[in-house]
Amino acid sequence: MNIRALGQRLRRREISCTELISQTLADIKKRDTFNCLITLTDEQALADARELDRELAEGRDRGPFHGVPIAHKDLFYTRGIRTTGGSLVYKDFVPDHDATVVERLRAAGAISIGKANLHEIAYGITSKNPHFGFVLNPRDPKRIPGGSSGGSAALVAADFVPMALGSDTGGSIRIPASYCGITGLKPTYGRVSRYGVLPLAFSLDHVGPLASCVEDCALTMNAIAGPDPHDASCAGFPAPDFNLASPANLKGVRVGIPENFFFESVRDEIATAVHNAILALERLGALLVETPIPDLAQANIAARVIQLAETAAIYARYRDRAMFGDDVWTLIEQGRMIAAEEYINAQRFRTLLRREFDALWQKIDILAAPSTPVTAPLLEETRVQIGAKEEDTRLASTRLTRPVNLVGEPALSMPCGKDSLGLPMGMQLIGAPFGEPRLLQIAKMLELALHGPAGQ
Amino acid sequence: MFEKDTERAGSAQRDITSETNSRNAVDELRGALAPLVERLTAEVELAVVYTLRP
Repeated sequence: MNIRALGQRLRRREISCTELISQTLADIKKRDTFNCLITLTDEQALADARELDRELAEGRDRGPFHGVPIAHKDLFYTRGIRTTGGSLVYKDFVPDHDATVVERLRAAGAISIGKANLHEIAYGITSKNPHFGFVLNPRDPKRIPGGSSGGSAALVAADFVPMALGSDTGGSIRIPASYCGITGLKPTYGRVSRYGVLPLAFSLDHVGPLASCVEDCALTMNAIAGPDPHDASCAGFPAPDFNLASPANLKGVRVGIPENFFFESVRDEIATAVHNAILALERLGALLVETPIPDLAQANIAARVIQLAETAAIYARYRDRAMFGDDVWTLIEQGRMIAAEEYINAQRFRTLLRREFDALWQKIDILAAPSTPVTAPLLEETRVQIGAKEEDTRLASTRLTRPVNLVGEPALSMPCGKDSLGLPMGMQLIGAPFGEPRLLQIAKMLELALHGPAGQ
Repeated sequence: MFEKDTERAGSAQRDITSETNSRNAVDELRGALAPLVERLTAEVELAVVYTLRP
């Protein structure tokens, strides 16, 4: 059930906030075989629910999130509640303040039921956490949910909560959204505060929602976006309304179909599903524009260099490999080997890419592409098959998402069908910087065309 | 004692192997970075996306 549907039940007094939270907690205790959570904050959630019930009884309504259960990836500071980052490094860390986004969602009336499991320090795509357990994909528990926001995605896919916050440095919102068959938005760099969020790579980290539908992403953005004096990387201008009403059609919208990169090495079923979704956009009135796009294979190289170096800088003082899982330690070790000139030149390459994307946005309004070249891999699958080629699972999973982090554009992953195994396939809609309202509006219309009304 | 020494030697060997693998992976990445660097003329500044505006 989505945020709007839950809100209607609460306002019609069909259910109280306390009853809803009690049901959610009981449901999680009974059905969470997916290891979605590191910490369940049941007492706090029930106390919050009682307070929000009192407010509703007094006629005070905080808006769409009033009384709605949500969760936070265990990377977001929560006052008085431990924030582990899925790591031994932070296993006993109890912040004395909330992250800005946590504070804003609380003020909007959302009730956090706990801290979601994740890939250790958010550095990976499997969410096979060696310290807090593997997160399993609710669509098929033999498969990974994607990551690093795997617990957040699993909570939504299992229908425990309509929205859970995540972070995205190379695809960590969009990959689990794709593998779990839900919707995830990586906003523009600078749109959402990162204050109180454990960093992974300063110039690539983004915060955003994983949710049951596009509107839930829009409503979350209304709650969390906007300037934050605590975060220098946060844009200073006010956030607009992200939940715009749908127009009659998409006439005048130019949808870019990439001629290079995005469709070059993806499974046939996924390419077909994305193309079918693009045709649905055309039926809604959009103009399809086939276009060459910047060299995103090169962007991937630059983004990997930057991420390795920035993460190594953050974990520079940790020299005990026993504190980390093997995969994470290897990446930290690799980051220590990146030379300063390599990091700087990778950052300079960003300037070139920025100019090329600015030129692209003169020709199109959004870019439509697959989110991931494969559907959710099996837990033990370290390499995936794409046509005749084999590829490392981590590099394949991030290949279509990571380049967008380098330029900072907003990008949304939404379901566009199921493959022959019944696994969800995801498509990505990428927009111009700070173009989220239009991006979400288009995505909402596409969602309706592909899947019917959300939240039923 | 023997067991501890064996364990220590095994751990040291694992560290060396891990470092060698990491070095190879970074060398490969470094090779892939070279064509990008060739595109960087002197006027391409070091800028970060903090400056993004609508």
